[in-house]
Parts: sequence; C-alpha cells; structure tokens
Amino acid sequence: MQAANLTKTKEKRTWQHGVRLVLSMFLVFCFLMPMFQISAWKNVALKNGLQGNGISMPGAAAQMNTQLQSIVRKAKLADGVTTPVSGAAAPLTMTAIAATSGLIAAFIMFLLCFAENLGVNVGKKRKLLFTILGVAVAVLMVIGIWNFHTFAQTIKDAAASADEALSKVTAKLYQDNAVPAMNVGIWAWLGMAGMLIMAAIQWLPEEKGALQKSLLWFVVPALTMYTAFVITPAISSVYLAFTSYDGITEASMRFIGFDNFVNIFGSARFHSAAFNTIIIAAVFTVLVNVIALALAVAVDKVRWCKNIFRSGFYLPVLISGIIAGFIWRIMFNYSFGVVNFVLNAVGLGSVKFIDTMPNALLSIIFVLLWKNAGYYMIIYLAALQGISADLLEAASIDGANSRQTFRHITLPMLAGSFTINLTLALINGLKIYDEIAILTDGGPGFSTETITYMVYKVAFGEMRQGYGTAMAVILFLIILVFGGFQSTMLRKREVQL
Amino acid sequence: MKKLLALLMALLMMLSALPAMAEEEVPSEDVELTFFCGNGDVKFNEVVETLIAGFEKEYPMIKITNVTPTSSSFSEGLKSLDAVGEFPDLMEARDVPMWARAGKIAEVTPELIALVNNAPDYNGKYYCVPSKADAPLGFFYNKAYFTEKGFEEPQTYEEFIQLCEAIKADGTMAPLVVGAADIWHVGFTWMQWYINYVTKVDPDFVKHLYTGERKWTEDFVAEGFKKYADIYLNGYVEEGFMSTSDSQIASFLVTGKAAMFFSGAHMVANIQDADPSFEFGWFPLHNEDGALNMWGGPSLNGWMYSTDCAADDDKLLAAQLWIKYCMRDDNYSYYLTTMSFLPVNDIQVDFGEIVNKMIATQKAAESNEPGWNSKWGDNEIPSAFRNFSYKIAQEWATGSKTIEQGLQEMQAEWDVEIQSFNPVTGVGVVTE
Repeated sequence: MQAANLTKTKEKRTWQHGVRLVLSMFLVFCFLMPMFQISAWKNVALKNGLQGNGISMPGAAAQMNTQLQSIVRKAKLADGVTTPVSGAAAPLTMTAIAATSGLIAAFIMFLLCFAENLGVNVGKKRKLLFTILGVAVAVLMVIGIWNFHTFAQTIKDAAASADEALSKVTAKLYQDNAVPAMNVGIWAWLGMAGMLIMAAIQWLPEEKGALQKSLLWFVVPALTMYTAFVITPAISSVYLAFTSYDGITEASMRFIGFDNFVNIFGSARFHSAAFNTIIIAAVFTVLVNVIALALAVAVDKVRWCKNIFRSGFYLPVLISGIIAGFIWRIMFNYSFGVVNFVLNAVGLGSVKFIDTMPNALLSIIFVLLWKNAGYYMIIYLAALQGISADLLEAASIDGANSRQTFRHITLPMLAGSFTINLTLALINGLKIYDEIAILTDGGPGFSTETITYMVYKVAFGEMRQGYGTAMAVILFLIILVFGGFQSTMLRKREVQL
Repeated sequence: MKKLLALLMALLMMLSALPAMAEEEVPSEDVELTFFCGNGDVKFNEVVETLIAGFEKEYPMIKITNVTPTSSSFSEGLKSLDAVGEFPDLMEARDVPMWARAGKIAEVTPELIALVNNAPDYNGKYYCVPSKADAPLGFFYNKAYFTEKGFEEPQTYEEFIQLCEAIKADGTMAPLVVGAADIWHVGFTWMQWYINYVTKVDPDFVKHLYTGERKWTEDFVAEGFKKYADIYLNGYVEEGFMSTSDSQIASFLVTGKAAMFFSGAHMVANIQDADPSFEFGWFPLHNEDGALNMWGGPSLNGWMYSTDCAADDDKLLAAQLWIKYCMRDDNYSYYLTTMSFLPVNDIQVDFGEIVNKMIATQKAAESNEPGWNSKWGDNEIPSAFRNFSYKIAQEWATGSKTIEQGLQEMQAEWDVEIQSFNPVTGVGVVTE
C-alpha cells in the first residue's frame, strides 16, 4: 500500500527530459566560451594600443576590427604595405553575433527544459521552437566559425607583416591567443553539433519513466552555487591542459595538443605518484573503516565516560591537516623527535620514520588514520545507535550470541553507513595532500608524492600550470571511475540487504 | 664665547639638515603595502620584522602587511598569491627574469639603482634593487673538536674526504649534518659539486643543454655527482638528514652531534645565537687540484615591487621609501651584519673574523660564479628544473636511485621542460 502511494506521487518522465536539460546547460557553456575568448582577445588588443569599450561582444569585436582596419590603412598610407587585413571587420563580428545568438537560444532552451521538469506543459511549443532555434543557430555557427578562421588567418598574416606598427599589435594578438583561438573553434563546433542534436531529439519517440520533479527545487540553490564556484571554473580551466601555460606569462600559453598527457604518461615521477595514490587510497579506505567501526562499537558499548571517549577519538578530526602534519613531523624527527626518544629509552633504537621508504609512506598512512578515524567513527556510531533495540532483543531471545548478533543484525544494518564511509574514504584517500606536504614534502625525492600533491607542486611550485591541469584532469577521471564503480557496487549490496 | 659659538654651530647644523628633511616626499594619505619574502631562515625573518617595525614607526602613514605564507617555498607562495589575485606590492627579489617576463614586476627608478654599485640588469632594464652579493659557501666546523683531534682544514678534495673518514672513525660525532628536509638547503651542496665538476668543464653547460650539444647523462656530469652522492652513501652525513631542516643544523654543530656543515655566511649569526660561546671555524671546498671555484658574484637578489604597486602613486612612493630605508647606512649595516650578507655598495661594515675570511677567500678564488638558478640569458634554467634536480639529489643521497637513473630522469625532465621554455630558441620568452 505504501509502495503504491509512492508511485502515485511520481510523474512520468522520458529520457529526453534529462538529455534536454543536461544538453541545454552544456550549450550555454559552449557559447559562453567563444564569448569569453573574444573578450580576452579584446583585452589583449586594448593592452596593445587599440581603443574601445564595447559592452556587447559583437560591439567589442566590431570596434576592434574597425581599429585594426584603421591601423592597416595608416600602414598602407605610410609605406605601401598590402597586408590583407581590411576585410577582417565582418568576420569577427559575425562570429560574435553567432556566439551571442547561440547563448541566448541555449538559455531559452534551458529555461524551458527546467520549467518542463517542474511540471509546466511546454511540449508542443517546445518541439517546434527547439527545432527552429537549433537549426538556425547551427547555420549561424557555421558562418561564424568560417569567418573566425578567416580572421585568425588574417591576423596571422598581418603578424608576419614587414610593417612594425601593424606586426607589433597583430603579433601580440596572434601569439597571445593561440589557445583562445583553439577554444573558439572547439566550443563553437561543439555548440553547433549540440544544437543539431537538440533539434533532432525532439522528433524521436519518447519512453516513459518516473520524474521526481519536486526534489529539483531543493537542489537548485546548492546546484547554482556549486555550478558557479566549482563546476564552471573547473571545466573552464580544462583547456589549460592542452597548453604550455606557466601560470603567469602570457607568452607561455601555446596550444600543444596532447603533449602534456603524453609527457605525463611517460614520466617515471607520475608513475610513482599514481602508484602511491592508489596504495594510500586503498590502504586508508580499508584500515580507516575497520578502525572507525571498532571504535564506534567500543564507544557504543562502553558504560562510563562515553562522551569523553567519543570526544577523545574525534578530537584529531578538529585539527587541520597542516597542523597534524607539523605535529607528527616534529614527533617523527630522527634526531630530536619524541617517538625516537621513547624508542631509545626502551632500548629499541631510532627509526627513520620519514627519511626512507617505505617507512615514509607508512608514516603518512598512520597520520591519516590517526587524524580521520574519528570522523568515520561518528557516522558508524550514529548508525549503530539507530539500530532498533527490538531487533537486538529478538536476536537475543532467539539465542544468538554477540558475534552472531553483530554478523547478522548489526553489520547489515550498517550497510548504508558502509557505502557513505567507503566512498568518502576512497575519495579523500585519492585527494590526500596536507599531511604529505608537511610531513615529507613528497620525499625523500619523489617517493611519497601522490597525484594531488604533484598537481600542486607542478602547477604552483614548478610554474607548469598546463602540465598540472592535465594531471588534475587525469586525477578527476580516476576519482570518477573508482568512486562511481565503488558507489554502484555498494548500492547493489544495500538493495540486496 | 666658546659656548655661544658651539650653540651657533649646533644651530647651523640643525638648519642645514632641515631642507633635506623637508624635501622627503611622503604618501599623501595612509597606504598599506602587502609584503612578501622568503621565510626559510629564522634570522632573516627576524631582521625583516625589525626593519618593518622601524619603518612603520618612521612613516606612520605607511602600513606594511607581511603576507608570506609559513609553509611554502618562495616561488610556490608567490605564485599562489598571484593565482588568487593577491600578488604583493613589495617583495624580496628572486626569480626576477621570470616575474619580469610575466609583467608582474615594475622597473625600479634610477634614483634607487644609484643606491648600489653595479646593479645587474635584465634585458637592459632594472627590475630589482640588489641588497646583497652572493657570498661564498663553505664548511663551518667545530674548532675545539678539530683542535682536540688535531684535524686541519683540508686544502684539496682528497684531504676533505680523508677528514670525513677520520671523523667517522673517531665516532664522537657525525662528520657532517645536512638539512635535507628543506629542498633549498639541498641546493647548497648541489651547487658546489655542480660548480666543481660540471661548469668547470663547460661554463655554458646549460646553454649547451638547450642547443642539444650536451646531455645530463654525460660522463663528467655523472662522475661529479657520484662524488656528491658518496658523501652521503659513505656515511659521512648524520643519519637523519632527511628529517633535519636548515634551521636545526646550527644546533647539531653546537651540541656536538656533527663536526661540520656546508652553508653560507648567514649561518654565522645562527651559530652565535645557538651558543654565543661556541668556537667555530670555516673553510671552503677545494677541488682535486687544490683550486677554488666558488659560488658568488652579481645577483638579482634584493627588493622589487609589482606593476600594480607602481601604477598607484602613493604605493609606489611608499615602496621606494621602504627600499631607501633599508639601504640607509644604519639599517643596511644592521641588515648586513646580522645576516652576514656582503654589501652591494661602498658601506664599511665590520663582519668579524669568519666573514672576513670568506670575503678574502672569495677574492682569491680561481673563479666565482652565480648560483645556477640565479643566471639569466641563455644559461637561465627552466623554473621547475631546480627543485626537480634537488629531489633527484635526495634520492641519490638516500640510495634509492643510482646516479645513472637520476641523470636519465633529469634528461627526460629537461627534454619536457624545454618544450615550454628555451631562451636559446625563444620559446616561452616574451619578446618586446
């Protein structure tokens, strides 16, 4: 009866609902990119002597073109230069118009898809409107892309011009925008293809499913913030992975295709970092859950001073990773550390905790366990305290001993907590940074570096933003695959239980 | 009558000083400058804080906020601040060519350049006011222990190795302590062996790496670094060197845990702070022939200010006042003597016996060259390569990599890095 009621509250949905919503968001992004890049180009132009403050992108593009033409005309008048820049005004303006139109169309599509998911019936209007908008924008984009390449070629030719004034500006434009130019191309093509797909899927037969429309309202505020501050910056930086950008010098931003990825996969340092990442994540995930579960069970059963034990085990969680790193670095110091002092006092002799491998890696894992076990313990403890006393009592009446009760009652009831804790531990294990940075600085040598640590060191310490971003993209994919796989497997287990 | 004359003289002197005081231009309103410096040396941090306090007292309308992070290297810290849009106004000058190419730092005025002798330029422009010359590096040693055991300062590389063997055999203390937990400290010893065995053979080694005429894997490079690694692998260095930081090595020396360490003149103050009564000496590292090839000469280390700072009249004025304040005789003398830095102008400073010996040794050396990461032009190394090499050095020292493996990895890394930065071909270098 309860299940039947639940079904009634769900609306039917089609797979096109989801595809349309995601695709429309993606299209907004696709058309934003060329506009950002044209804006960036405009800024370069302004820095190099061109004037203009156009508010709209077509306006900015037109202003820039006009002035470039002016420079060319002056150059021609001065010494008869015949560089063919005069036809550049229309092309870039056209690209900007196409991108702006695409952005507006994509935004309208997104609003309609969202309204539809909230229950507003826009079926018929949507079908026709999306088809018209999709095809129109796709056509505009073809013209825009074609014209953009004409403009880029014009700038390139002008950069090679013998005229000093002309080549100074255009060389700067061409040089500084090798990557933006690539972006305009990629995103414009993706936008155009997306519009065509959007138009096409309107005419495919729809399959029925369930739509939990009301839940979307609760997601919107968080999703908006998350999109603005996490997803958008993250995605918009992906293009850096295809450049040699050092993070500070404009001249270093050259498009180098997949060179960064090729170099990363051929790097012994990366292989070592990837190996360490997997080892730390795997060992940490297993051990922290075993320890946290043991602590939770112990704290749950303890009769006196329960709160003191609970707080005591949780206390290290409140310390930041940096502070924990400093504390243990001092304690593990070979010559002055308190740990070796104690070991020497009992006659065991000094140990090189962070000076050699594999001790350094084991020390990092130990500190991670010490610092984080309390956090996972709290989640298990909450689940343990949520287990109905009736179940435990029934088991007891049935003659189950404490081991059997734990195996057949407690553990199954903790399945949800296992999913959460294992997923969180794996993701946190893959992202570990603070403790390594302070405890070993990735050393000795590169021996305790992880991918996350290497991303920071490479991008910020070694001034290789492009290389570091490429590594971050790889790390993202690793987390996506591992996290997704683990989460799926554990959910299946929850259903079985 | 004499009293009257003395009073008149004093009055005249005060009056003569008035125009100079009145002429000094100060910011028209309250100014806050963000400040960044390297934070590896405890003594240097103290000096900077003292200078800032004195400066703020003298110029109450200027506030200097030190934004130096406590847990990252100089370049990491500065890059991180730049990434979040908080590039500081005023900085200790390092990696000047890189920040100049990025357009992040401004040219300093001729008035400031006039405060020093022979300021080095980058591409004909002055981006920093040097505050110190590169001082020679060498070994500080426990004088009482040397005297007791009858050890002499070595005059050749062989004698140095024999000395290490003798101290090791004595067993009272480790021959050497190295603060290898700080990656930049690893660079001190790296640099000396690099100068003795690599640039001694080819002074333009880095340039020739760019042109492809040289490789890191060449025999003479491997031989030099094998000698470097043997210092560690033969057990001359105190065992826990990978968890020992630069700030701890002075205490190893004064507490009798190690007989020597290799560092610069700035350690004089650190040793004296650790134990004012401790007797210590200093000697440079000779090569096999007894010749001295030393780290020293002109350097782009000092003070620099950002382009954003230069664009704001009040901030620019405040930054210029800071540099003038630091270079004023009383403050500059304090800065030099406390840190045992060598001056870059004609100021007369009494450094004491040890530093005077360093200066005399440097003058008598067969060659002096700037640090390999302080060079610019065709011999400027890619910014990432310095720390990469020092990490490899750590792996040699701990025995986790052979010299050949390390050099092969260095060559592979070099090949990758020069795809993005090669001053010989101009890749990654701004051309105005």
